[in-house]
Amino acid sequence: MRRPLEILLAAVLAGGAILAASYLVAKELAARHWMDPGDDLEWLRREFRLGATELDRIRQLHEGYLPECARWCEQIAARQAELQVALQSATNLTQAVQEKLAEVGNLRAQCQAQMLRHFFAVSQAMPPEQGRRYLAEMQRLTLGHHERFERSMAGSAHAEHAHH
Amino acid sequence: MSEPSGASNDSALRTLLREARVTPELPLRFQAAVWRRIEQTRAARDWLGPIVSWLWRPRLALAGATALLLFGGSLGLAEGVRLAKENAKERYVAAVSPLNAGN
Repeated sequence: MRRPLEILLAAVLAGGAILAASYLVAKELAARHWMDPGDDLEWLRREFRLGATELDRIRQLHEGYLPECARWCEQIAARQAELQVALQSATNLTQAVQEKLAEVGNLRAQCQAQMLRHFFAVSQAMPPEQGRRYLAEMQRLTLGHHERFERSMAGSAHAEHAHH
Repeated sequence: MSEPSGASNDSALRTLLREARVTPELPLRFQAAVWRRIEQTRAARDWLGPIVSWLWRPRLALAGATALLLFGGSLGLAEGVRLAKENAKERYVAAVSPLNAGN
């Protein structure tokens, strides 16, 4: 035992390497294999502890909803392209721009209504408690973002008014 | 008159100084004291020795390595599952709500 300090340092380094390697390998393996990366509904199955029958029903709803959702998205994208064209030629807020803005807004609202209908249908295919949790979570994830944004805007507007 | 005499005095003084090498006497047990100091320094440096030799046993090293492996593995597993859940959730939300994708 001629160089205890060197041996102790080597042991600490080896321990650190073992810790880091085991952490990284386990994380990578778990991230890859814990969920099926090819299935959109894998999160629902795990998170809301769905059985095979419930998952089959939800899969039907999901597969029925996706093409409708895609149609809404195409319409919104088309209107947004028209809005861009209208904006490029405008030097002012023209009637055409206002109409296109209203159309995009209207389509978005209809798309969101369709999405909420789908969430209600999915929640009803789940056990009641899980269905309530699913609805709350989906509303938070999809509508909550806009609400947070609007609330933050309202907050900053109030602050602005308070300054004036 | 005095210059030649002064020069010879200087030379005599220099010779005297060169020859007069003072050899101071070492204190009593000086060598023993030096060795004692050296031993004390070595002993202070070797305090790690017993600890390392206690730790440097195959069973203990194996147990430590296994514990670290399990601890790191558990942490990694928990983090990996959390990441997988997060990715799967994002995938589902992006599928059903494309308007929110990228938010």
